[in-house]
Order: sequence, then structure tokens, then C-alpha cells
Amino acid sequence: MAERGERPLVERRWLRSVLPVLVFAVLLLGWEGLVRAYAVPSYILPAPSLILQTLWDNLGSLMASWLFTMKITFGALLLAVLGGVLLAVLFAVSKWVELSLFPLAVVLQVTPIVAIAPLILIFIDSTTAALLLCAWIVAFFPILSNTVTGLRSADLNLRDLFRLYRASPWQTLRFLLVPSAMPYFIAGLKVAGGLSLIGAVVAEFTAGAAGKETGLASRILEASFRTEIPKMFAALLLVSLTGIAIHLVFNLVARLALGRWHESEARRER
Amino acid sequence: MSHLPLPERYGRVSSAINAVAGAAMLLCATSLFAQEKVVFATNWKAQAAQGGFYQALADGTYKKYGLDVEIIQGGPMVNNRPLLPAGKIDFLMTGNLLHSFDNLKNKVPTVAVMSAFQKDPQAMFAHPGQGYNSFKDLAKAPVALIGKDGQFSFWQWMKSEYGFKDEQLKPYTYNIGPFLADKKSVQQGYAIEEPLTIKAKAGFDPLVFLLADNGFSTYSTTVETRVDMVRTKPQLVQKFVDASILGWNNYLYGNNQAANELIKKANPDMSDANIAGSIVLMKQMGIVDSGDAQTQGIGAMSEARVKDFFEKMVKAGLYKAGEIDPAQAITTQFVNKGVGVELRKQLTGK
Repeated sequence: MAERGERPLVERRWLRSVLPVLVFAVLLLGWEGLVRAYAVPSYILPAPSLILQTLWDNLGSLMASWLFTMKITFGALLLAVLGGVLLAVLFAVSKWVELSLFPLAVVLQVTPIVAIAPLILIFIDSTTAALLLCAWIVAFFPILSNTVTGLRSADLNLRDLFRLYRASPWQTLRFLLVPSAMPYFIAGLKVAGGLSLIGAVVAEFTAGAAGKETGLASRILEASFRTEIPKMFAALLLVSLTGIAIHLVFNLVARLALGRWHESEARRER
Repeated sequence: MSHLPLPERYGRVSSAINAVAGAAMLLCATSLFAQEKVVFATNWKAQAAQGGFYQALADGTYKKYGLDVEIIQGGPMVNNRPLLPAGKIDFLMTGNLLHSFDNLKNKVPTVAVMSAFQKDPQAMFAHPGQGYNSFKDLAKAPVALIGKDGQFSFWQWMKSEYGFKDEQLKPYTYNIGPFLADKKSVQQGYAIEEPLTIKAKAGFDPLVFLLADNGFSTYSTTVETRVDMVRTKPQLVQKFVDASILGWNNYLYGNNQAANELIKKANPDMSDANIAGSIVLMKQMGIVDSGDAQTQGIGAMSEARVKDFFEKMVKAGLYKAGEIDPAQAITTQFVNKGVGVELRKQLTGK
């Protein structure tokens, strides 16, 4: 029986941050040890120390590419939020619109980016615009779908209450529907955040050019063609770290937005 | 058995011994003729420019040399390069020496053992009547369609030496559509291949600007393998090289029907007319069998030329002087022996 004021070990704040880091560190040390013990050549599997060294040596150019990938990722995410939320509100307001447009949205979701990226590049001249479009396609559906569900999940009794008090549609939206939809929207945002990064990288792999405005995917391809395997891993490391960072950022956003009132983020008072 | 005279006493034993000895010899013989499995990856989809290798496979030359060869295609989005140092393939077709220099720079232990082409057919194509009169003019093109392989090799040389810019670059995916749609665009290709496709699909002859005529004097369609393979299995490498050289001679001068069937099977987009046109161009431009190859056999390489090409690339700023020893990129121990010259004389009378 836990004593009053004492929280179980698994919920201690510091442990939650330290444990994953510890596991990572153990894995990295194991990797380094294996590479050294078996003298694995760097062009087959580079050691973490070599990868970090290569990252440091190429920091300038890799960060420039990272910045470009970030621009595409967050640009696409922003557009996905705008488009997804707008469309979700439209769907919530008019059943007709929803019935006609939802199948289109589904088609967008299931079409693999790898297949249509080269096609998009034929029609759109600017590579950046094409990449934004591809990443948008990937990120927009979770937000749309989740927000629509959220807007619909407002408590029916509360809706009736609003009707009783003759609330205008705008007031209903602002005071009832939006707060009800918020947790669902945030859940969709968490998914879309990771997806827009994936979309940006995959789109660039299949359709991107090289040279001036290039993101991490092009750097990975370049390193692969020039058999610079440590550099390939260094670029991949940046992509993974970015994905983790995006995940953590949106977790924080969720906690800030919902922490005080929604079950999913509330902390138990003991 | 002791009542039998001596020869008969040992009759059954000796016949048993004979049987065992015969079986043993048969086993040894079959293992001697057992085919060694070899995987050869190319750097593009199957085409006449790879004909010699497909010929050696189709007409059984590889088999005669005891090699069970599997040819893996490359392609516009495919990169077979990392497979060689990783040990997944045994031989790799490489488009130009820049790739080999890059490997040296990154301490990847590979080496080129033969060069099927004496002249690099890599070229840039432009629409006629657009004001492109020389290779230098192409640098002004608004769009340059370059594939991934070229992007990280000869494109770097084009930027350095002729002032091409990355802003012009668009990916070339083996589709001539974008080039046909934009008259001011220029695209890469093989001088023995793309002009035929363009003529067939769009009905005009594009302007051809050969990189080799403008200072890009690299060997092309070399065969690379791992350094440790050269060290531990030199006979295997020699067999592959010799069989490939014979394959090229047969492909160019003999009956290449079976090889072309193989090529068309591997790459259904390829047509007979295209293949035939390619071979004519290869002979006309002296891509395969010219210069050193005439006397020393197809596949010939010289260290002097490799060093000279490296100097040119240093001057163009791609590498720093002394960064690598270019002679390490090739080994001439398997070529320059006149293999195939007799065969050519037989087939062509010259």
C-alpha cells in the first residue's frame, strides 16, 4: 500500500526521462563494442563514434540540409493543420459536403507518395512546392479524420443545452465544439507531426534534385552513391533525432493544452 | 577365395578398386567443372551498351570458363554501388573513373580490372535550333536533366569546368518526356543510346555533345571488384575478364541474337531497332574497340591515362592533388594480353 504522498517508481519524473536515455546509451555502447571487436569496416557498419565524428566534420552542410527538411516538414504540417481543420469544420457543418468529399480525402490518404511524387514533379516546376505537396498529402488526413471525429463528439446533452439557450452556430462552435474537438485534434497532430517528416524525406528521395536546395534525403542518397557510408548514417541520425524531437514537442503541446482538464493528460491526485 | 589363381584372386578386389577410383575421378572432374557462382551488377537497365556481358552469358562463354554468372540490372533509381564492398555482388559495372576515385578517397577497397569502353559515350543532348552550338553553350540551359549516378560524378565536373549550376539540375529518370516537352532543356544520356530513342519517339535527331570530346577522358563501363577478391581469387577474376572480352568480340562481330533476346527479356522497353542502331553507333564512334583495344584486346587499360584523367579532375577542382594515388584505382594484371584479338580477326577478317 503506497503511503500518502508517495508515488510509484514508474511515475517519478526523473526516472521517466533517465530510463530511455540509459537504454539508448547501453545500445550505443554495445554497437560500438561490436564494431571494434569484430573490426567491421566503416563502409559496412560504421561505429557510433565514427558517425558522430563525421557529423561534426560535416556539420555545416548537414545542418543546411536539415534546415531545408525542417522547412518542408513544418511548412507541410502548417498547411495540413489549416487544410485539415478547415475541411473538418466544413464537414461538421454540412453533411452533404462530408459525403461528397470524404472519399477524395481517403484516396489521398491511401495513395503511396513514392508512386505519385515523380508525377507531381512533372506538373509542378518548383521542386520545393512539389515536396511540400507530397508531405502535405501524407500529413493532412490524420488531422482531418481526428478533428471530424472530435467535432462530432461533443456531448449531446450539452448540444441540446446550447440549443435551448439559442446559441448561434458560431457560439456553439467556439464554446462547445472546439473544446470538445481539441483532444482529438491534438492526437491527430501528434501523428501528423511524425508523418510530415516522413513525407518530406520520402518525397525528396523519389523526386528531389540535388545541389542547391536539398534536404537530408538528398544527402543520404549522395552519400550512398559516393560510398560515404558514415555520412549516410550521420544524415540518418539527424532524421531520427528530428523525429524524436517532433514527438516530444507535440507531447508537450498536448500536456499544455489538455493537462488541466482532459483525462488523457491529467495527473492523478493522490 | 584362396583356391583361385593370383590374378583371379584379386579380380574382384581390383574391379572394386577400379570402380572406386573411377567414381573418385568422376567426382573430382565434376567438381573441377563445377560452376563458380558469380554475381555481376550493372549500372543501368539492360541495353546494347552492356551487350558483351549478356553475350558471354547467352552463348555459354561464361559457362565454358566455369562461371555461373548472374547479371543484376541497375536503373535510374537503383544504386548497386554499396553492394560490392559489402560482399553482396562480385563484380560491378561502373560508369566512369570518378566513382573509383571516390572509393579510393573513402578507403573502400575496390579496384577496376577491365574497361569495356575505351571512350566514354556519356553525352549531353539538346534540341536543334535553340542556339546550342558548343558544349559551353549548354551551361546556359534553364534545365539540365541529370540522373542520380551522374549527379554525383560527371555533373560535378561539368559544374567545375564549364560553369553549370545546381539551379539548372532536375532529376533524369530515364524518361525523355521532360526533355521533349521543354525545348530549351538539355539532358544526359549515352551517345549510343538516347539519340535512337529520341528519334524513334519524337522524330528528330538531337544535338549530341560528347563529354569525352570536351575533356572528360575517363575509361567507361569498367568492371570493379573487391581488392581481396583480386588477392585471393585471381583466377576467377581472370576467367571473368577473359570471358567478358570474348563476349564483347562476339557481340560486336559475331552472332549476337541470343544476347539481344536476353537484353530484351531483362528490359522490355528495349527494341531490336534500338539495339541494332546502338551497335552501329558503338562501332562508328569507336567506343569499345579502338585505340589500345585494337592491339591489346578489348578491356585494355593504361595507368598513364588514368593518371592523366586524375590530373584533369584535380585541375577542375574535384580532387586535391595528392589526395589519392590514381594508379590504385585500376589493375592491369588481367587485361592488355591481346585476348579476343584473334577472335576478332577470325570474325571480321581484319
